[in-house]
Amino acid sequence: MTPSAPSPAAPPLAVAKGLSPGRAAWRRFRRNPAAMTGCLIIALLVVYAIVGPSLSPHAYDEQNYDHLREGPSALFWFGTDDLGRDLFVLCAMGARVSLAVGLFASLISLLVGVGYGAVSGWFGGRTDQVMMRIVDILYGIPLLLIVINLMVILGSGLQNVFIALGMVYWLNMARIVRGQVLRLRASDYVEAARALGAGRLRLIVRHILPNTLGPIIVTLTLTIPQAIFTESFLSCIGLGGSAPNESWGTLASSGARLELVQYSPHLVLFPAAAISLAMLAFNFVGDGLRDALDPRDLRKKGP
Amino acid sequence: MLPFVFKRLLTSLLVVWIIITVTFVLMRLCPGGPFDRERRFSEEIEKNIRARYGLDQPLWKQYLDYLVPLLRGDLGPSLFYQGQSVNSLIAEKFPRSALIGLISILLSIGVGVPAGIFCSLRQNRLQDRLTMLVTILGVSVPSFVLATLLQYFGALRWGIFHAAGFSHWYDAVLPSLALAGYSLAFITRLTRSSFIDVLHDDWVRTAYAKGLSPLRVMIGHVLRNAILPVLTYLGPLAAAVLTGSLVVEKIFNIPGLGGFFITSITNRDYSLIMGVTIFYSTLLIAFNFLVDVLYVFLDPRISFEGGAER
Repeated sequence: MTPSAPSPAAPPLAVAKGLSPGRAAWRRFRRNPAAMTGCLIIALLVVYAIVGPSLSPHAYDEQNYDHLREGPSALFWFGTDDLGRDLFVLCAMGARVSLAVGLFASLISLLVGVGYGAVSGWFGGRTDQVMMRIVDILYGIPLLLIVINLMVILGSGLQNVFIALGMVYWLNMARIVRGQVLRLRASDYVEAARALGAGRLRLIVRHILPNTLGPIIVTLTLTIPQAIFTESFLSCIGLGGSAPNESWGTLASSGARLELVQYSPHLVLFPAAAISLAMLAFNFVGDGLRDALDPRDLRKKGP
Repeated sequence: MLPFVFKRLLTSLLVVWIIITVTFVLMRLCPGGPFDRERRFSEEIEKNIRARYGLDQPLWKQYLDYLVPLLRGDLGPSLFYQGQSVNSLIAEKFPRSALIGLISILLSIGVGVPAGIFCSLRQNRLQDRLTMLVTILGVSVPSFVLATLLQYFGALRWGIFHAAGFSHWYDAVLPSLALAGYSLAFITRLTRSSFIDVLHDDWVRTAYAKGLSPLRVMIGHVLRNAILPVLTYLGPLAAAVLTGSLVVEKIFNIPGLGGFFITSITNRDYSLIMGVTIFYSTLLIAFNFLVDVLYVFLDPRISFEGGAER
């Protein structure tokens, strides 16, 4: 986050009125009902992922042969699947997997994208041109096809999903960071810092990167739902997380079969609802952060 | 103008070549192969098979052997389906996918854009709020869930359509709807926000102040500006429809290229995976090229130097 708490060492003579940019952004964010709802949903999903499995008396790999494919009941809150496993616990385990996919894929995209974008934007000129041309070219490649090809080689499995998705989603991050760095590099305050004798590393780390934090956080937040969504798609074609690391996507796609939907709709409804909730929540928060961190853009709401 | 088109065309060709090279390298890196069986072949047979498909050649030779026929559009033989070429398989399967894809693209634009414009004119009223609610569901439900729901209600519950298969033109209806769902919702939202942006611009007020009729303002002034972001989405739209078809065709059991692609992944039919990847990529890149050229035609603000900025 942007530094929201005033530093304790602040001189007592500092102007009392007025808010730090971080404070102001937090205030704008707090007043956005959609974004706050999103935060709440994410918090609930995280809690569900952490404590969900221990709330239910059933273990995730426990099979109850007397209760195959049963609807929700007092005994099995979300019902059971065709192996007699408790869907409530399976969905909680799925939350771990899906949220981890979102988190790690976007963290990989963060590491690669920020590094690439910062280098490209900082050096500018020919380096920048070549590096951005590469990004343009990669952008023209249909991303999912690349993910599928990567998955074919790496083999299905969770860590490979992280890698394949992370390797694809850094492009956006790189573009955004590069644009910011390029803009800030030429700004007066950076010029002033340089005149005061700040070195290259100090300029980048202390003066430029903190100011690109806003767009980075927004992009990061919006990458998470994309990764979760893409993973669910991958699991539908058999390349996502598979047992025992079943994601929401795996659960939903194994329930999304005509013969199952007719009599056991709960098998697709619960995991699919979880995916949709996560999608909505992260997108709401992402949009809210964008509005809060970049007030100039307040009028323009993304789709 | 022409230099821009030419430059853009060159970049597109470069990207196609890069994709060919990358998929080639990726597929050669794969562990295991289509000829791996439970029981191993005797060494001589193995050697013969490898020689037959040129797998015993050095890598650069294999690459050239793949690239040179490709210049004529020949994607080589399938490794899994004996005696069939990748080209003939694509030619057989693709028309059905193309039909469904085309319908859903037309549906997304033909319904999404008018719906978005309608919402922007009724901003924050009941109709707008309701439409936004539906579209937000549309962009957050995975396509395979939507497909199954459509299948259940459209075929099983109400019995209007066939649940699966592709023997009649109306069998394309449900898959197209499932495929269009996400993009339709997205385009509606995109159009709405883009029109709202433009409708609030000063020069729109000026146009009204000049005494132009609302219709005139809409068509002559707003539409041309507000439609540009929607146009930018056409490329991603085509990509979304194409990749969505992989799942939707599998669910509706349509013998199209998308479902076939998934099967070829399971079969580890490398030459087919490569062929279809290259085919799809080329299709999308060609489409993006056309969209970019169209964009430059419609937006006079774009400089021809840098190319179309996203």
